[in-house]
Amino acid sequence: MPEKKEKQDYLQHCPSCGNSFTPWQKVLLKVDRELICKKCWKKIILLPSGEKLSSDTGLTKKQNK
Amino acid sequence: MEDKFDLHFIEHGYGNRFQGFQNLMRQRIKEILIVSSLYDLYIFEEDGKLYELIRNETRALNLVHAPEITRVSSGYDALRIAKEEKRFDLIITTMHIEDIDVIEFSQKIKDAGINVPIVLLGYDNRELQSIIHTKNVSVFDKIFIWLGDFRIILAIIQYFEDKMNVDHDTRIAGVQSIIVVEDNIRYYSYFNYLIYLEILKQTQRLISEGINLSHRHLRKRARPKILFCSSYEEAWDYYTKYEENILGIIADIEFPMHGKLNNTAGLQLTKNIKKINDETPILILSQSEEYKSEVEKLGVSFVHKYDQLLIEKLRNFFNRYLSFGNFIFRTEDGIEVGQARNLKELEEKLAIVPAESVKFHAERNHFSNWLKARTEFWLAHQLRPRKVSEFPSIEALRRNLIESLIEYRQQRSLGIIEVFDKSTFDPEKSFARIGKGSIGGKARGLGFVNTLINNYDIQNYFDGVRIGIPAGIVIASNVFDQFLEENDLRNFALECDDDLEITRRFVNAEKFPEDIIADLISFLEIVHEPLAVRSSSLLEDSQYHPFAGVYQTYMIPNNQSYPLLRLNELLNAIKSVYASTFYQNAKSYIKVTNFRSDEEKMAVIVQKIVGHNYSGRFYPDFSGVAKSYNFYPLAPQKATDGIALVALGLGKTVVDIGVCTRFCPAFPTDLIQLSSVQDTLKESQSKFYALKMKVESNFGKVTTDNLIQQFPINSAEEDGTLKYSASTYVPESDAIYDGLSRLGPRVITFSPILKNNLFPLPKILELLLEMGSWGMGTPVEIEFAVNMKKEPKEFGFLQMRPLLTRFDSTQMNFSNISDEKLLCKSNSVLGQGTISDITDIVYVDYDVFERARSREAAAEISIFNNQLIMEGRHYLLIGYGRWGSRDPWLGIPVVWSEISGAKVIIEANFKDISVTPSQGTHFFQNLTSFMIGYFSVSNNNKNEFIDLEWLKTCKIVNKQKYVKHLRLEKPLIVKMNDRENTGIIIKPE
Repeated sequence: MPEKKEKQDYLQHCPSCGNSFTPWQKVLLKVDRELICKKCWKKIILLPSGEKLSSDTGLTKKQNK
Repeated sequence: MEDKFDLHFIEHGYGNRFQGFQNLMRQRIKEILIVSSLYDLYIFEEDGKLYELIRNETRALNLVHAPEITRVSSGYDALRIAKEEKRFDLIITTMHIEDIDVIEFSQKIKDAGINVPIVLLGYDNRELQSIIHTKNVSVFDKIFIWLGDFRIILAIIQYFEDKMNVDHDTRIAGVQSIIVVEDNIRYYSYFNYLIYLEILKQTQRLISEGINLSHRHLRKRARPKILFCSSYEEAWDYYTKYEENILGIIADIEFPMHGKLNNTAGLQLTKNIKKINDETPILILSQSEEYKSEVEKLGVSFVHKYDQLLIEKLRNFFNRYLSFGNFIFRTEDGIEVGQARNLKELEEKLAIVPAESVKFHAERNHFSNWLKARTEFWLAHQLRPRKVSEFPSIEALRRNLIESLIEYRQQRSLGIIEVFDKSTFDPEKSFARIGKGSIGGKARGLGFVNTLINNYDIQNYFDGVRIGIPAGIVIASNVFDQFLEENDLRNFALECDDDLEITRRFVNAEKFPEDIIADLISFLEIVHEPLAVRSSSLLEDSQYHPFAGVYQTYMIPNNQSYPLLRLNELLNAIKSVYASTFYQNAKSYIKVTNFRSDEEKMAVIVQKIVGHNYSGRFYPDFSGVAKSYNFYPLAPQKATDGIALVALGLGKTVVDIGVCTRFCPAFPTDLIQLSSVQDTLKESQSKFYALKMKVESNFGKVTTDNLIQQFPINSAEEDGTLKYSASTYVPESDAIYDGLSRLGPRVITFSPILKNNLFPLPKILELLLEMGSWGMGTPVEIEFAVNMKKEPKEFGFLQMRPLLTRFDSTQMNFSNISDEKLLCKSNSVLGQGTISDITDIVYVDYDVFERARSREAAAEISIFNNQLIMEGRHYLLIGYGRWGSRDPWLGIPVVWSEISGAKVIIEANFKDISVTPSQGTHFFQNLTSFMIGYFSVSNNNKNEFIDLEWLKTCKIVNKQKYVKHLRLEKPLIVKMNDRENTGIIIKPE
């Protein structure tokens, strides 16, 4: 149960910075299984097996500016 | 299999979502470096320039790209370029290069760390054999021989591309492969291209019809790969690695095995493969007939290499054994009981062939293999090997197979505008096209929305609600051209300035393409609900000129008993939409764009109207418009929170008049417009639009005009539709209460939805606006309608178009300019920047004008507008109430073409009523797209004003009864700040 709750939390917020996802971002993450957080610019990837979440470095703030 | 690849992943190739088939064949040979002597190049180019030959061949094969070729004759030059430029994907070298031995050259490439395959392309077989036997040729990744055909280059490319991509593509999508085992350079140089060409042609033929062109191109990436091997070990390695995805094997009988040439290696390979899978199709090629009978005893095919009919036999092998041909239903005894050419026939035949045949094929994976050859991977997986024991009976298995096919067909058509086919058209969901040509901007927008909704599974995102575009068809633009041509209408329509006459001639035109009529009849046999017939023109594609409200929309009840009457009504509506292309309004609109009237082409959308029939009135429970950008946000709302406008009944109330309830989807309970009882009673909707269902049809007469009617809201209460939108005003307490339980006048507030969440409208709009902005890359506006009567409730997505916004980082500060110097000041301004060349003012005389005369005022404004357009002068327009409102009591009912020359518009309050800016109307849409400055001036705001007294001091050029035209000697200066929505108009000094 705690594992499920944890999964649920991840899908609502960025695991790196806690930024709340908008409804469409949640859809994108669920379907595309990857999303770049617009606040911290890290890439969130949902792996197909075991539904584990990992956060990968994407664009840095500096690069994005 | 589910663990190996995402089924949805491979089926869609659109948008950001996945790469789908785009993710296949990721590694390509795009740049080739050819190192050859001039003479060798001369040989290659006997028939023409190599580069052009290859490009032509690429085009002929419908391949998407041709490689770029760089040729040098010096080995050292090649080395330098390869090192410095680092852009080559393949190096092909001939035997003779200018300044260095070919093997030494290749070794230097490898030593330099240039990780690119090197191919030796020999011209003379003896010379090649000599170098192979006397030197170490392992430095070459492959050796080919030139056989007089430039297409060897394409075969070489294919060889490497397949090798590079096989692992990924097999893993991701289950792409199939054919193993070819041949060690003889001459033969494999010959076969390589032959087999590749055959595979390519077969695949192109087999990729399903009905999918659009881009989808077909993408699916070519999923064609079977050809894995060439030169030894037993190489072949065995490939087979064991990709066993599940091996379509078949073509092998020589003699090739190296365990390091030595073995004249029965092919037989051994066959036997070992058959131990693993007896069903793997194998073709053995040989120069002699010696082992023919032994090969055939193993149950595999044999062809002589020098057979005159080699290609034919190869093709037969592909068709029969590699599933490239028709699916042949057989019984266990081998008796043929049916054939299917395509998916549709497969579905039909599955229903009728004997059960034993179904069992025979299902258990041996025949359905899957056949589908894989057609790149239908998802379906192949659904129809993977089934044992009858998994099902209660063979019939249950049969049903399961058929249901999978039906489901796939339906799923595949979602999000794609397919060609209309009565047998497959789903009257609840399908959106198909009729005729050839463009489908126009509106239809394309709808198709795009449909794709997003289906690709991202949004249809059922909210419990109890189905989101989608209403079912319908698009009549493509070539039908419009044909109609004009056959009835000789084009020149007449371009020159005629009488809209009624144009309509009459169009509706009475006798000829209409017969094939289209046949399709319309088929459509009407399936769809019996009311229809909206709407324009979808070519020029509506333009992001910057959305043509909002320019062309006509017609709604028809489509409920007559006689089919011919229904067809007649539909045809009249279509012709009327065609006619509206040439109305004066449209022509005037086009004049101020960069387009010409004769460039315009009209497609027509015929779509089910969202709604329900309530005692002869057909309408949705509510409908409206939502924008992802709010031009007038009130704190705490931000502009990017968007705005929604919703009304009871048909959306005409919103887009033509602007009477509606406004709310921000992010703050649905903040209804400023309804902040006081007085405001609520003043602003709320008192009537609604519905389609009249009882109509008398007359052949040849246009009856569509009078079918949309207004009804008082108590009619909605009779229909039971008010419960979603209304509150009750109780005069005794001078208060408005949610719901209808009390007695009192009904007021449209949408509080049941916005406060009590009877329907998740704000959440739906929030999601769809974000989806739309993401998909279009720009803020968007959407039109929608909701039918609460249906189960699940229907949220109809009617249109989506880009919303033009301008952001300028330049900050404008007006605080240092005193009010005395200003003609106008407002905190509700749309527009950005400075306009400093307006010297003409057209204004409605405040002292003379009355609301009852707004139509006359509109006509007078039109006269001045046309005059000033002809003179090439734009102007400042000043008037009262809501510009562009169809309701003459709310504002001056101009249409866009009547004020199209205005550069800045001021909308001030009436003497006796203040009117809020109309964000939802077509008028507003045109305002933003043409970048017209817009000032709204309210009596209630001390910081807003317009100096009407100063206008009286200006020189009058011309005047009508209610409207004056003024001209200034020096220009006005208009300054607008759209970040703060503030603006001023400075009087000339």
